[in-house]
This record gives sequence, C-alpha cells and structure tokens, in this order.
Amino acid sequence: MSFDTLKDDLLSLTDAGLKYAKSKGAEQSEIFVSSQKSINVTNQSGMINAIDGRNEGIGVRIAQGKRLGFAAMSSLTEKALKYAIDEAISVAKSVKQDNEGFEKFADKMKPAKDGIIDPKIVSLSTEDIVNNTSKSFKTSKEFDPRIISATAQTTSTYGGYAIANSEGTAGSTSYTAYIMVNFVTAMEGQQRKSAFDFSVTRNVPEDKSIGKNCSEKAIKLLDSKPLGFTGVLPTVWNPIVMSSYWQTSLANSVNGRQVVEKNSYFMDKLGDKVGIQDLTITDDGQLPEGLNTSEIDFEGVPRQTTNIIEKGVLRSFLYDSYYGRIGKAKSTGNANRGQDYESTPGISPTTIVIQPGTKSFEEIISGIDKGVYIMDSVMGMMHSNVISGDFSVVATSAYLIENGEISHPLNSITVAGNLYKSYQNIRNLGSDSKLLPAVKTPTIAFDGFTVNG
Amino acid sequence: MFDILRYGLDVGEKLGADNIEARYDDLQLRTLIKENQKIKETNINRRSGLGVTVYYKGVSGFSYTANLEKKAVKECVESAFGIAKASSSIAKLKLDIEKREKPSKVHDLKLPVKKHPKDFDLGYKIDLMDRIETAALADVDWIKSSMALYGEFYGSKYFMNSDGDEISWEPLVIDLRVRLTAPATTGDSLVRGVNGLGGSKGLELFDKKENTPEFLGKKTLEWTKEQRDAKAAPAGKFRALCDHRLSGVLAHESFGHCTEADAVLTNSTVLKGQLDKKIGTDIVTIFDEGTPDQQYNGFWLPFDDEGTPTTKTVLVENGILKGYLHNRASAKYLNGDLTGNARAIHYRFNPIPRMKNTYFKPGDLTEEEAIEQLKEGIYAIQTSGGQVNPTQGTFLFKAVRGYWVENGEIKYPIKDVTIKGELLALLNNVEGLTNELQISSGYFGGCGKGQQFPLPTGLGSPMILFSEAMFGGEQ
Repeated sequence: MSFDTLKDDLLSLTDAGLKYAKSKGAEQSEIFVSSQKSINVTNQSGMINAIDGRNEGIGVRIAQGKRLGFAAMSSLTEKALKYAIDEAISVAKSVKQDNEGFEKFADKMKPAKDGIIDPKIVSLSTEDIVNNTSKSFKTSKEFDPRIISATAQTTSTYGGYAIANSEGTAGSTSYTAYIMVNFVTAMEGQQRKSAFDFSVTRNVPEDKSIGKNCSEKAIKLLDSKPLGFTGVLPTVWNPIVMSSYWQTSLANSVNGRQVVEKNSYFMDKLGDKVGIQDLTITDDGQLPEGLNTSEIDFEGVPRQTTNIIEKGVLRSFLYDSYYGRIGKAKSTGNANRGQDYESTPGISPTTIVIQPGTKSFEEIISGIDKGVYIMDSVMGMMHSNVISGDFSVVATSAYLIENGEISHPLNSITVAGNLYKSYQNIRNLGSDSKLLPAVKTPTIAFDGFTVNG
Repeated sequence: MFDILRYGLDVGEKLGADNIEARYDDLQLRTLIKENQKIKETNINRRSGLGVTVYYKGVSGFSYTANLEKKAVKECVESAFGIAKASSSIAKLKLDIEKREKPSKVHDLKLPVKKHPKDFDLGYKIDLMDRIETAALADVDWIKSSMALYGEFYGSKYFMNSDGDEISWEPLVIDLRVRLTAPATTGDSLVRGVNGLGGSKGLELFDKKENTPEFLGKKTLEWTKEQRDAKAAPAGKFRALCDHRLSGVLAHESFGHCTEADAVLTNSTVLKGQLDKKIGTDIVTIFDEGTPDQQYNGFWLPFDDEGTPTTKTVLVENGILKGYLHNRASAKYLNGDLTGNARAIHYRFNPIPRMKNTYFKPGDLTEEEAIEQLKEGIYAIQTSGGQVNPTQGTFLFKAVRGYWVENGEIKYPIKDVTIKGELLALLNNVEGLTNELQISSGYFGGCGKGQQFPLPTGLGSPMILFSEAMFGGEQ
C-alpha cells in the first residue's frame, strides 16, 4: 500500500471485513485495520541498533446481543481478516455473560481534522535516519570528555488506520512523525549525572541540536552537593519532568472509565475548583503538531479539544463511547488502542496541553528565596498512588535555588507530596512551552512539597 | 515452516550477509478481564510473523514481516541487509559473532503439562476469574471496586540461522490475578489489595490447595482489610526484611538490569569493571536460569531468540560478581560465556540482552528467625513495581504493604512504601536469607527495556534481611 492511497486502501479492507462478518452471522461488528512503517535507529555509545519494518494487522470486535468478542491478527491478508472475524464471532458466541454496559459500537459522525502530514518523512531512506542519528550522537558524545555514555535514538514513522462498524461509521486517518531522543551520562570522580531531551514533530525537524543541549545539561549537573535540609520548599519542574507529572496525575483521575468504576480521585468533583485560577488544561486531539492528532479516534469518533480544567475548575472527564454512555456523558474522542490492532479501545489522553503563564523561567527563579529546580526525570513517578495521589520521587538531576538564583547542583533528593492537591499549590506557570509525546507543558513551580536530601 | 526460513537465509546469503538469522513466531494470546464482577474484555490475539537479523561487517540490521509470501520475505531480508549495510560504515563499536561449533537441531520442544490452556475453553478460564473475584469480595460491603484478570500465551517459535541451528519450541504462560480497592477507615484515601499467581504451567496450577482461586481471593480480602487501618511507614534508614516477591523484583530491577551485557558494552552500568570483585556480602549468590526446576513458577525458556541454549548463569557467587548476561555478539566482544539471554518480545523486535529467571540463592533462616533477627525495622511485602537507572546504579521500588517490627515482633501494618538506594551498597547490606525459594512469572506486567515491553521473565528469592535500607518520604 502506498502512503498516498493508504487511507482509501485501508478503508476498503474494513468494508470487505464488514461484509464478511455479516455473511458469517455477526449481529454487530467493528473492523479496525492499521499499517505503520517505521525506521528506528539507536546509536548507543557507537553501537548501532536499527530496525526497519512495517507493522500491519487487523482487530475485530463482534457483538452477539450484549456478548462481545475481540480477536486480532497480524498482517493485512484476506486470510488474517477472515481469521480475526471468525475467531471474534466464536468468542462472542462462547461467552456466557453479557457485557451489560454494551449497546452498540460508535455512532457515525463527521470526522475532525488530521494533523500535519509531511511527505518528506515517507521518502526518507534508512541511510538518512542512520546518518542523522549518528550526527546527533556525535554532537552529544564529543561535547565533553566527561560524557561517559551517550545514546541517540530516532524514530521516523508514517502510516494510518481505518475503522468501520455496523452503525455506519467508516473513517480513516494518516500521520507522519519524527521523534528524536538523546540520553547522556556524565561522570567526574564517583559522580554520575544524567540528562535527556526530546524532539517531537510530525515533520522532519530543521533544528537537530538536542544532542548538545543534553550533554550541556549533564555536565553542569556535576560537582553536586547535598541539600542538607528536610522540610517544605518551593520546587520548580522543567517541561520534560512535568510531562510525566501531568501524565501520572491525569491519566487515571480524569479517565472516564476510572470515574465510572469509582477509582478516580476527581470522580465526584466535576464543577469544583480543583486548581488555581491560572490553571487551564485541555486534551487537544486537534493540535496540528500533536502526535495523537487525527480525524477520528480508535473507534471512529472524531477527535476534539476537551476542556479538562478551566481556570481551576474541573470541567470534563475523558470518554470513549462505551464509558461515555455509562457515565451519562458523550465520547470525547479519546478511544485509543495501546497495542494498536492488538488491543480493544481504551481511554487515554491525546495531547494534554497546559495553558502557559506569563513568567519567564528567570522570573520564576528570581521569586524564590530557597527552593529546588528539578530537571528531566525523576524516579518513582509512575509508581505513585494514582488513587490517593500520594507520590514520593527521587530527583537525581536537580539544583538548589538560593536568593532568586540557581545556586549549585544537588545530590539525589526525595520530593514527596500529593499529585491532586498540588493543583491548588501551583506558584507559577512558565511562559515557555515544550511539546513532548503526549503533553505540551511549560515549566511549573509548586509550593508545598516536602523535600529531603 | 522451516522451508520459508531457509528461503530467507538463502536470500540473505546471496546478498553477501556474513550471517543471518530468521525466526518465526506463531503465538496465541488471551486476555480476559472482569471489573466489578462484569465481563469487560475477552480478547484473542494471534501474533505471527517473521523477524530477520542480518550480520554484515560487524553490524546487524533487523526487519520483520507478518506476511509470509516469498515476495514479502525477500523484501524483509533485503531491508534488514540494507539497514546493516547503511550502519556498517558508521558504527564505532563493531560486534561480530563466533561461528557455532555445535548447532542445535531440536524440533517441537515443549513442557509436559496436564491441563494445557489450549485444550480448555474460555468458559473454564472465566470461571477461574469468577471464583477468585467472588472469594475476594466475600460478603463484605466496604469494597469499592474489584477486578479479576486472566491471561495466557502459548504457541510455537521457530528459529534458523546460517550456522545450522534449527529449533522449534512451544512457550507457555498462564496468569490469574485479582485487585481490590477500598476506602481507608479514616480520611478520604483509597487502599489496594492485590494477589495472583502465574508461570509456565498448565491450568492444574490452580488445583493445588494453596493455589486455588478461593484461597488466593480470600488472602486478598484479608490484606485489603488490614490496609484500611494501616499507618504510614516512617521515613528514613531502617533495618528491613523483604518478602519473596519484593526481593525477587530487587534481584531483577536493581541488580539484573545492571548485568545485561549491552549496558557493559556501552558504558551504561555501574557493574562495568566489577567482574571478580566483591559487590555483596558472603551469603549473596544470584543466578539467572532459563529452565528453573518445575517446582517453582518460573518462565520456561529453553532457547533464546538467537538459538542459544539457555544456561544456569552464575551472576554473583558468595558476594563476588562472576558474569554478565550475554547475546552472541557481546559474549564474543567481552570474552564471556554464552548465557542464552538474547531475547525479543516478539517478531517485530530484534533480540537484545534480557533476563531469564533471576533469583537469589536461599539461605538458612526460617521466617520466624528472620523477623526475630530483624529486631526493629520494616517488614516490606509484595510490590507494584520498580525502576532502575543502571548507569547511575540507583533504584527505587514500591512495596504494596508491610509491618512495623519491634523487639522481633510484628507490631502494626503499614501502608505502601517506597524503598530506594544504590545497587553497590544494597548487596553489601544483605545480612540474612530465609531457606525457602519462590520464583514467579506471568502474563500481566513483565519486564520493559527500550520499547520492548512486556517481556515475560521470572524472578525470585527467599526473604532477605537487610542491615539497612532507605524508606519513605510519603506524607
């Protein structure tokens, strides 16, 4: 399938699937097909690991009454299509229990818009990616002799998916993306410091300088000293580390499924003031440069921009059509498939966008007498208690802030607090914003976390 | 099946590949999920496809296809060759493989099990979930939500290379789990209870008295109830006792990842340069084994994804670091033994050094003696996962529950707590090990490295007594 005709080719396959399913006695059916070409090159300290391939497959949901079956198979052959449909029908027939929440697959609706498509990505050769990755590796490794290990990774990808169901939904979408990640470790004496950086675009990026930035950050972190303090301090978090903070704190708490199943901290707080006045958060499935932007979500519902928190007030949860119906809300176009055609739709954010504030990074720092600046990554964020919101993380890349200035790098410190209550304790939102794979956020400063080190 | 692999090898050899590997997976995966006693997922997934690694002038290239027509296979091999060729002039670190002296010819190798999941219908498995969830909920009215999960995978793996290896075998994993959420008796926080059992086993695993869904569910309820009144663990340095499961994760996360040879090659582990050096107390011995004894619930892995037979690898012996976990290229470069650790999550990834079943050798303490010897400190139990930075040698993980111990006696239950530290200090703080080893593996969760997640690995341990561990920070 060529990229130019991919959307139509995939769509015609779903159509063939619907007809076959009907002929086999399926009462309701949903056919999802996808094709993704990717070149993934990693240069880790001069060792190259490169993968070039096309991941294609089919995922089918069949409903017999309220009994649901799902089956998936890799490849887009007729054999695979028939296998997945036959198996899904057989599962739906053998399940003895109703899926009580189920009524029908997603309704037919007018599609939204695709994100940026860059045809240049389609024409990139393996050599191009290998060369670009190695350049990025070289700038980062050769920046300073104290860089003991450097990794540069590039993923260049394009593809699309199509979905059709017995409610008349029939849509398809396509994308291109170019993602670069650099990760370095610097060492001096017995001290090791790490830093990383991302570049996330849907087109071939012009600026490929993340290798240098990354090494510069790691070198500056050397010669760290203990904090020698336990207590509550202001903390400033850069966009890269905030990206995991927002994902951890929103992925569960505003997920419509968790709201319906009563596992969400925010479940009974709709309309309540949960954050400061300046806090506005959207889930933007229509951000042109966002990686998850598309005409339709993974069950065929149009993507949209959803206000999650508006001026500090909780406005909406994120839904797919199944939990939207149970939760007496509409789908917000947030159905995703974690493992593509191998998964049934589940709810996850597209791109979480935090509305930036007005203060520059320097202005934020200059307003703090004593505090901590945290960069890039912390350990333990993903092991936070997402139900209660309690977290405790170890920050290995951090600085002391003293008298309104960045003072010196710190040895590992522990930072603990509550993910959800912290929305009320935001001190500043920065004016800088950075796009990461699922989040676009500025620098954020919090009050109220306990710091120990 | 070997015909099409042979065809791929021929294409690659004609192109000028120094060596070529072709592997074909045909795996069946089943995921069943119930939430609040309602069926939510009944997923069948057949994952089949071909992965090809081409070695060319010290560099390898990898490509894959789910389509097995000759034309697609040819394109796949050409693509793998193309990417190796493009990389060969740029790679600074050249990695060759040693020609295999004794290639393996093994067909249809499988575990003898009584109740293979392929012979049992979905109803049988849904019934296991009903039983565990019903037992976990009992008749109490304070549970907020419950979830039961069943997963399995089985199928066939075929492997062939230019060295003459010709291998097919049948992996198998089953897994049954339950999770409860309940409000704490005071405050507005929610607590969790989790339990489960899995491994490379037939469904007869759940027939044993101590493994029945009823027994597993009942335990989950007891633990959840206890968590409702648990106190926050104190923060700081304490003596510690970690249960089997938590110690197993420690063997895997905080230690095992640091022994993976690609990390040694790329200067990304604190264990580089530590070979034959003392890194732990005399009682610390750690293995990584492909086919642990069937009395345990490990993951059965007779061959890795480069066709190397797996070994019982000694990583640490009496506190001394003895080896790393290798693929063929790293073993040659670092002059190490072939350990059979080249693993790929599925046909769309190339094999990289990963763990098999990583576990501490047991010691001689009983559980009672271990608690008594702990005297005062934290007895930490189960885990919801961990994280490690092998380059820095730092780790962090989370115990699900535990107890505060004083005067060698359990005093009160504590909430989930973070344990963190540095690998090189950790093994030097091992003061004692109990005499009972447990190894576990499963379908849910699994190991992540790069983009390859979740890979089933086994991990295990007796209970371990640490003279010091860093806890806490929770408010």
